[in-house]
Amino acid sequence: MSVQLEVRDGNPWWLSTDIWTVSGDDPEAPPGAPIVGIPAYLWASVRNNGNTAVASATVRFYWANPSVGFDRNTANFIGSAFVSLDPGQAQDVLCLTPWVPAFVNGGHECVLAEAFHSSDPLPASPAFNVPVDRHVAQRNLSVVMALKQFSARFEIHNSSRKPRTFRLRVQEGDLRELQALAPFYGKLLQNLKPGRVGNLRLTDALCPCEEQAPKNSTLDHAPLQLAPGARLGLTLAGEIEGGAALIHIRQLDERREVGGLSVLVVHRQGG
Amino acid sequence: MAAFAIVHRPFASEPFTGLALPDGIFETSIGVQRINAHVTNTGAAAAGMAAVYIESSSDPGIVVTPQTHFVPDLTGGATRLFSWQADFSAAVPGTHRVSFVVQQGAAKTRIIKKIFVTRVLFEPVSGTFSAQFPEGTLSVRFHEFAGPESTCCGKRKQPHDPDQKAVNLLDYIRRNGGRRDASFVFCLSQYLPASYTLTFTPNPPYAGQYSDLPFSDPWWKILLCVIALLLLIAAAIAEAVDGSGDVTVTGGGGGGGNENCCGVGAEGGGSSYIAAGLVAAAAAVATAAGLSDARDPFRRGQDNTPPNAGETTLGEQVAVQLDYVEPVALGKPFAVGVKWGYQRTTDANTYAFGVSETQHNVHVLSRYELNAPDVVLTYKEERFVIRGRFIDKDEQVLRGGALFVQCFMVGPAGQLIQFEMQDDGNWPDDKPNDGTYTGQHDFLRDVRKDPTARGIWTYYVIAQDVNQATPDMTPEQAAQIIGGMVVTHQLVVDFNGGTCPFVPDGHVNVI
Repeated sequence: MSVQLEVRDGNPWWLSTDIWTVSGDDPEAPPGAPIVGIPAYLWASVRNNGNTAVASATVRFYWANPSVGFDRNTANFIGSAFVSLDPGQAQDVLCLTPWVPAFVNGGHECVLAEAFHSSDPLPASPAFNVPVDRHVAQRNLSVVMALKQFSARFEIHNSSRKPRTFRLRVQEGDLRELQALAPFYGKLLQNLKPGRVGNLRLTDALCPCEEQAPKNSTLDHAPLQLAPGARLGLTLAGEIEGGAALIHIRQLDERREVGGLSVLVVHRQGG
Repeated sequence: MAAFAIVHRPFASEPFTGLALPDGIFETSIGVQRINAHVTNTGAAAAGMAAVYIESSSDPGIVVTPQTHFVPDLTGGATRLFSWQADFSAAVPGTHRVSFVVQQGAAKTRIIKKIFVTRVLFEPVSGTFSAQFPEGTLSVRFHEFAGPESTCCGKRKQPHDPDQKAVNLLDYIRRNGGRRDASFVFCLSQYLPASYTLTFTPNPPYAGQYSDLPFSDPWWKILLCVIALLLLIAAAIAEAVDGSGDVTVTGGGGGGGNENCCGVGAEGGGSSYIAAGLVAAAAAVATAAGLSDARDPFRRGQDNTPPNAGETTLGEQVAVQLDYVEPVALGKPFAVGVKWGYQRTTDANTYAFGVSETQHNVHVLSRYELNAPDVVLTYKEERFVIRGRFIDKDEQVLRGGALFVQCFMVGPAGQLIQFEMQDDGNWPDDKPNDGTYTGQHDFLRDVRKDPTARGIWTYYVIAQDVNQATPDMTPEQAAQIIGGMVVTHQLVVDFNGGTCPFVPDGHVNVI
């Protein structure tokens, strides 16, 4: 007899299709990408994989600035909701507390949902451990519209009380990986055609421009040592021509992948 | 096919007396209170087993204690009351939304409803209470209360320091409101607001003749009713805790009232909580009656003081003097004489308007009928089942979600039991929407735990009306519909001194 709550991960794991947002005043409107300054409502699909019904399981919702490696202490709590589930049942759960995406994060969607109950508690750790903990899932996707040059800033967090060393790996993904997310973004993800990405780099420059020679830039960033609780800002920069590109940034510690975010770059026709 | 709806706005009830707040408005200073909602099966078919729970709220400061209710069946057209505990201490004043889920197997209905949350504060320097809401702030300074000339009070444990008149009684609600104490003895020396000044500060100052309504719905006077109710409950707690429940102490104005009210005597424990609730309810009903449900003094003042073009209204004030020309009888159409003067202050002028008239309580029943056993034999596993029918002033039987009906039972040792009565066709109710509200209590568990539970219990069936406004109404239409007023007849506050009729509805011998 057990309750096993799950919010499913995506592929890669930080692109869950079990979390989505609805922008505007009506939380029951169709899903859509969050818009700066407009209230957005978060939803999660929560399932009970156990063989015992659960009443009033808690679902918590968070947002974070574009970042990798954040935890329950550094993410921003939005609100919570409750759900009752029979064995094998899945339900869509609404967080009625609105999240207003702020200008500082450019409407970037880094949202997270976790489901738990006293009969199926969360691990006793502030870390989310998204890839290994079925209770929690994450959607960490930035959408950047660019004429040619693009940049996307993000943070890398060390939420540990010990110094840690991380590596960042940047790689181009396949636009087909976004197909499962298409229903949640309206027309945004429809009819995307692969574009050409050039001069892709990670840099610590705040606003990398064409005339700036990239510094410390690489597709596989040198190990970064972060003090306990430290955050380091980095920028993903490059150029896009014709179509769109999906770029994944993976955060690795010495042993495993501990964080990740994706950036969808869409070439906007000039005018 | 079953379909579910919550037709009317969910409403608050507070834990100290168990009664609904005026117009169901939630109040942060109470802290923990109950969210009540009438769920209706609007379809034609029976619903079958369903689970009902609160999914989420729009304000993370509203902390709901999760609870999933199961209802065996809800036939087409039937309505059932559900309630949840929630802590509003950290809630932001304003209009919030709550999502309710009714789930039957894989089928799920989500119902999102508005609720109103206010925050009542006490400002010690001026001795005013204020209620905050998005459209502004309503402040009230009480000058006079009507009360008995001689009371059971006077057992003041701390000497009254005249220099310390600004006692914040609301603190007593925060500290004690959620607990019930068998030794609580109700005693108040002032009951009914008789003279007070209301000040409305709009947010922001407005151009034109009319301001927005609080929460775009109820009249300003509803917030006054909330304040009056809170003040009296707080005073009752304060008097019982340390003898400091003098409401005029908080308001800073004068002494007791100019009327010789009867005194409300309660024996302590459970009956004292009921007395406290009914006296506070009487204050709310009297306040609502004096200021009229149809159009309250602020709106009538605005009607009669159109400012010149280009002026901005900065504030409005209403000074009220009530004359209780008839006994204040809960649930009966008593008359109240009222004089009030309205003043509008703009950035260029001051405008005034005054009224002297007689108003009547409209929250009434012509009668109600109860049916309950005189004796419950626990050794035969008999349950106490009580049924009630409530008939309005037009001789129409009230049904389903029209009323919030509770039975309060006071035991031989001051025990207090409270349960809801439903008209939904689920056991012990026989038939949905037939106008018979039914509730039950199993005394067997009580007598097993507590031998003093055997003996004579006294019961009170208290019904409160429910705001029947619908979402399609304009604010002006919705404002004229007020709920949360007691309509049953357990208390009459008269002005001949002596003891007020505080009448239980019946007794049962638990054997």
